[in-house]
Amino acid sequence: MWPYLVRRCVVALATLWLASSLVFLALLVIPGDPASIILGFGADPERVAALQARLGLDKPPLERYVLWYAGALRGDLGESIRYSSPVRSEIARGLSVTLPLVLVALTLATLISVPLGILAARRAGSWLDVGISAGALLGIVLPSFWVGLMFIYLFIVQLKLPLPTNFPIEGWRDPQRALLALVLPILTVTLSRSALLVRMVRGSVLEVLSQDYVRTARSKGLSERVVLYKHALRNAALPVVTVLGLEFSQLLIAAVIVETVFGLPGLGSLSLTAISARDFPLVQGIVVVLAAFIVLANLIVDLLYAYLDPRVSYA
Amino acid sequence: MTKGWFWVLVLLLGLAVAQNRGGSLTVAIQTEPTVFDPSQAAGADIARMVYDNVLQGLVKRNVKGEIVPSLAERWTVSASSLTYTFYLRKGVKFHDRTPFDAADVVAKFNRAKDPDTKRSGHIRPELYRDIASVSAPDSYTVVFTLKQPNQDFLFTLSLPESTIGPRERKLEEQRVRPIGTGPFRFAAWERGVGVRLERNEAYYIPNLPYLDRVNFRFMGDGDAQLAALRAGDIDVIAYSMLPENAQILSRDPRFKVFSGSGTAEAVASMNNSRPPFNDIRVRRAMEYAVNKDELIQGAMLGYGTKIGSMRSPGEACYEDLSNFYTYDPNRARQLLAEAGYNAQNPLKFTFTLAAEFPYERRIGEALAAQLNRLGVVQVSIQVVDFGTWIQKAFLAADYQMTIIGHVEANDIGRYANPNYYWRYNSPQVQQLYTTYLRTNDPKKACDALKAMQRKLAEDAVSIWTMSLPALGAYRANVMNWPGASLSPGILLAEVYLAK
Repeated sequence: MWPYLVRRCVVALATLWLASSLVFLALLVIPGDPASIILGFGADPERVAALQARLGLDKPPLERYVLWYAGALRGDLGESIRYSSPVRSEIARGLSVTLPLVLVALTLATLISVPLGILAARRAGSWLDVGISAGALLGIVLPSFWVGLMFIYLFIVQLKLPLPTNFPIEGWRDPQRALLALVLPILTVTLSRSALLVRMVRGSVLEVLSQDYVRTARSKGLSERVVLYKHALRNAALPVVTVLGLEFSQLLIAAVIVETVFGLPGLGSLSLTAISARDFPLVQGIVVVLAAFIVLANLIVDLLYAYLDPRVSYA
Repeated sequence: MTKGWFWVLVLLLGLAVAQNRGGSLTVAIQTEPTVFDPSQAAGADIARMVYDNVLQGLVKRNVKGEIVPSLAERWTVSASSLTYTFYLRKGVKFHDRTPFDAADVVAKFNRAKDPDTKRSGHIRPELYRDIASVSAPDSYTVVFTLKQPNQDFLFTLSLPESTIGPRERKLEEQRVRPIGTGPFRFAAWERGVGVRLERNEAYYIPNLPYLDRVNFRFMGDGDAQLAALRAGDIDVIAYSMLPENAQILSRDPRFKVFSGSGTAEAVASMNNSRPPFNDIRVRRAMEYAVNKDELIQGAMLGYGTKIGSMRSPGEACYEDLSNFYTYDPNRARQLLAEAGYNAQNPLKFTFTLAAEFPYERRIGEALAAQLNRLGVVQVSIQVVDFGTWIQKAFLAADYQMTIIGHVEANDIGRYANPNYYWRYNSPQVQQLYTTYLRTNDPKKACDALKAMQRKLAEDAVSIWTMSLPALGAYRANVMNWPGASLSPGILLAEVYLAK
């Protein structure tokens, strides 16, 4: 178990290094630099060069790359060009919105879709199954920006629920309003994510129920309940856990859209502004943090997998 | 008896004022600026929020776009037009309670004209190049001496870049929390969410401002703005509202839609130094091939004003050239044929659009469709982000045709700069602009400016598609909303909520 864990961690670190290096290269290649964006229509080449020097962008790329890593290893992700504040605190600010959004939505989606999926699988072909599957399909095809806007119209404009459509200017210092502001975004994300999960759970359970060992268990005269919960579900959970891990990374990306619609200052909208402002240190920092989360989620999935399926070996 | 009536009047006036006072207003703004000090970064959004509301200059541009006194009560100009003397308002305090006086003005403009931008942190020293010296004979008088007459000197002083902060204030602090003398003080900035301004209790004009608080919220998405307005989370969509949302809201009595005049021209630029647009016949063909009325109807649902040169109807010395080229596709084809293009050998070029600007994008797409309709032109549209646009199109002039809104007022002088991104080099226009800038006769200046507009149209330098509307909406109880965007700022001091 331990050598396996160590190996996984090494791979994880290598992934982080690769991801951040690729982003560094990408930022070198794409046109546009922060100085000319800050100067806008007042830009003239001399002025741009002066500002670049002030921002330290006139240094050769290799030196910037080495400097950045030297800082990152000490836990210093540099200073945001756009906000002239530490990248670390900008990312923490973004995460304080995105993490609750993503984690709550993922938990809710799991809680909703697992029972629904099992129900649909057990009554495969029934009207109930058709209804659940059709609902799930709808949830998959409806784009989340549209769902978000419809939620605003339905719940806030029509039903006049006392929910804000965007985050308070005080941020989390106004915790009640901040929480209320997250309700509809969480619902929006939950809807689109559960749709996918329901189909996944249903398919997985159906697959398992058709296996020989289930037939054996049934022929032994075990009750349907025991067959399902003792034998089938544990196996059906394997692909679902994998999907949940993938979902987490998908969610961080899907959050960009939802955060835009609901005016949330999360990591998604932060990365959008960072990229459009060519805020190199901020983009770099966000990528590393996102990659770290995704790598971590995959690691947890692998460990869960091992727990659920004793046949997985660590060798 | 008369004395009694006087007091009744005072009481009534007091009541009227009390009626207007108080409340908070939430305004949607399209993009979040990088900093909030207009002397340290470009961007119209900075000025929209802080100009005159937080940061004030010696003079300002009011809602009508006129230059009026602000921190200077009055000024005199010497007969030579070389000396400007400003008499400052007394008893003015900055938001940090330090008193404002002539030393702040002198410090500001010495910093502004310093060509070493690395030291000064001021992004546009070229604006102040004509200032030979600035001095303060006493605490409330400031004297500017110019190297040569400059017709735009007062205009320059009315720019957001010319606003004045406390002389001891650190630049890094002013960037994120600007301190000025305006009716509102800058209270909070939550990244990615918005900005809060609070009433300046010590404002030097009694009873102003009316509002206790103004929140600006950064909301880029037009539909999200509409939803937030209907949900009651915002009170005003300040500008750049989508035309179709304007139509929806104009049917709803709870809201008022406004389409004010502005200083933003949507300019489809042609690169005058490169094929195919270094050929004046091709440029003129483009002018004849564009149906501006149809563009305004089709792309903007009728919001927008037809123009024919680089000036908007609300600006001084405007020359109406909107019908200089009447829509005439046959004439366009004929000119293209003269330049060697026909159906077998069509004119092909790339039209670069910046993704972030909804108006310009839809106008650009409609314009490309009109050109393609000729049958002799094949336009390929390329969409880039603003960072790329600035680098490639604006700085390197590496483009053929592009479109962008030039928001600034009085920016026609850029056509006199041969290095500007449209790469238009006309000694005649440069001469006219010098005449305008260096004369001290206002009539002569205006004549030169009008001649310049005509010459630009004759040379078909760019396609000036329309003067963009200041299109927005507010809740019906919002009073005195400025509407037009002829001032760089959204002037809020006199806005109030009806009770």
